[in-house]
Amino acid sequence: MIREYPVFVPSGEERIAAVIAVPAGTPRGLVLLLPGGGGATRSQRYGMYTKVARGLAERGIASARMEWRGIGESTGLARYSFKALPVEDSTTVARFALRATGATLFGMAGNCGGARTALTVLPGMPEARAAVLMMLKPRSITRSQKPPVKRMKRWVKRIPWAGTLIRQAYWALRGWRKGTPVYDGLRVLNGMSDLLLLEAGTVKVGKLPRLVANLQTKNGQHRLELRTMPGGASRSFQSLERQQFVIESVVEWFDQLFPVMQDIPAHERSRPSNGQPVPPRKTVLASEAEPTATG
Amino acid sequence: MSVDEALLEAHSSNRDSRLGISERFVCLQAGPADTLGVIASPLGIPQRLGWVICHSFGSEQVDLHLTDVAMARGLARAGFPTLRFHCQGYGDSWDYSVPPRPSTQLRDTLDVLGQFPTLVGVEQIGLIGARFGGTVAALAADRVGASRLVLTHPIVNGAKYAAEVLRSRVITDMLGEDPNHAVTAQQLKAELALTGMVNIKGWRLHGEVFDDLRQVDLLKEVGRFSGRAHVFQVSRRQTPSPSLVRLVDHYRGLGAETDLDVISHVAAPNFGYEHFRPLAKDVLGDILEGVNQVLVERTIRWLEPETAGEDGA
Repeated sequence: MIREYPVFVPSGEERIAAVIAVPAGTPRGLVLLLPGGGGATRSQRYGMYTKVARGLAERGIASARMEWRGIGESTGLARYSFKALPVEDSTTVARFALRATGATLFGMAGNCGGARTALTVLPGMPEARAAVLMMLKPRSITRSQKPPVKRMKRWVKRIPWAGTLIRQAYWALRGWRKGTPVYDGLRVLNGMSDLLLLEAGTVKVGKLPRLVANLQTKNGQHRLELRTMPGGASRSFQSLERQQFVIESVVEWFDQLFPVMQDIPAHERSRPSNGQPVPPRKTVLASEAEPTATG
Repeated sequence: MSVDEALLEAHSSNRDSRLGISERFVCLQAGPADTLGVIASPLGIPQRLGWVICHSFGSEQVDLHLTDVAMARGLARAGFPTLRFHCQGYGDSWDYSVPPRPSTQLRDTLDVLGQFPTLVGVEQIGLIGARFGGTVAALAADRVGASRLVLTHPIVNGAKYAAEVLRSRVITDMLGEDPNHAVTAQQLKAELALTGMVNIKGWRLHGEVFDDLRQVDLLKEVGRFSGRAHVFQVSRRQTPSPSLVRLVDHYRGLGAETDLDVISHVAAPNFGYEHFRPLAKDVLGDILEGVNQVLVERTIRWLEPETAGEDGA
């Protein structure tokens, strides 16, 4: 039976809300799912992370889907910045979930700010084996809200063909510098963990394909793949094809890389998503318990 | 089995002395499956009136969730136990097999309302919702005989709302990477008729759900509520919206004591839409925080006669 445990995990003065999904038997590993900035809850928009968590559980893998501070049930102030990523909170939730589930292998999947957080969290986790980094967009920065800048962007977008060329030239001129922290993080992580990068085909990808190709030639130990997601230039997960692609890719990646445990019932191992029966499932909690001071 | 259930269950609730509340997750039955809810409770003796928050439809469920959370915590701090939960097809619910629609959200809400008094030990129930969540709250309140109702910019006419949902996709396209090829509302309607589904900013809007939305009309469907109701309008302008004025008049005609309260705020157009914007260099924040704060404060003020009559809050 797949079980889900909603929890408040103390982290500093705040409580980070998460749902820990547990498969039948000993988990093959645990995956931390972290949304990006923009207000998405632990389930991500369209329930994407809920579906990923349940897909993983059907394959014997536990997960913890968590929120940023101030989002969903987590306490604190909701603020997003690439310069203040939730590294401590993510590490704390990961440690809690590993302890609670008994998993010994760790992986992480995140999009945008969640992916950048993973770059920092994973090197500090000796249990880390694999990660999926979605829309890392090395050149991405917080969009300017200055009216002249917004007007200029709208104007450029409206020029057919030339608008695209102007934008490509702009991003080329921004150069390597803006993406450097992400590239450096990838170089470090590449030597420690199997990485799947899922990117949309936008100019913000920068020189990531070239860097990945370069790292692949020097890396004989770990898998490193860059896949282009369907959906063209559509934002975030607004493409339906992209949503499905991401759900299947994340589940498949960890299913391939976490070893099958001998004590997992045979029918729970590497279940293909071809309409076979789904095991019973349940949300579990102490519904009658009095509120507990967790810190 | 290696799962430390004691550890997990010990963390299924949280007492927060700074906020003056406790919160605990609860497992609820909603329609055909389980779903997850959170009960926010005061640290002191609770009021006899408890609140259930109804979330909005489609992508708005995420874009309005911080309004729902602020309201739940604000009410709990003021002494009122308050439940927020996910209908099937949203968040941590278990049934994603059927696309949510007005009728399933109403069904799930009615199911949860049946469980709520036992969970928190309240004698009276109030319902709250923002945008389409307000519509669901109004419909549910009418059926269960709720005593209080807070509607935040509710959708009165489903046909107009359905058109707005389509328009939101058009606007997103126009502000997107390729505005020259932005889809039109007519094209979306044609696609709905042809394929039975359109993509609204990542949300699958099916033809039959679209038709269900168009059928909703609070002025026709609400006919029994006679408690106290407070209707908020969230807008840039200060003049009351004609549709909300009609709704308030309709409630008054039913014998319900009803107020219309206009919250004028510069970020009001983002209510129900994406609302994280740069607040400082390289920092994104919620531009609706001010709206949520005012909503909570005015709701509590509206409830003051009730809290004054209780000893515990």
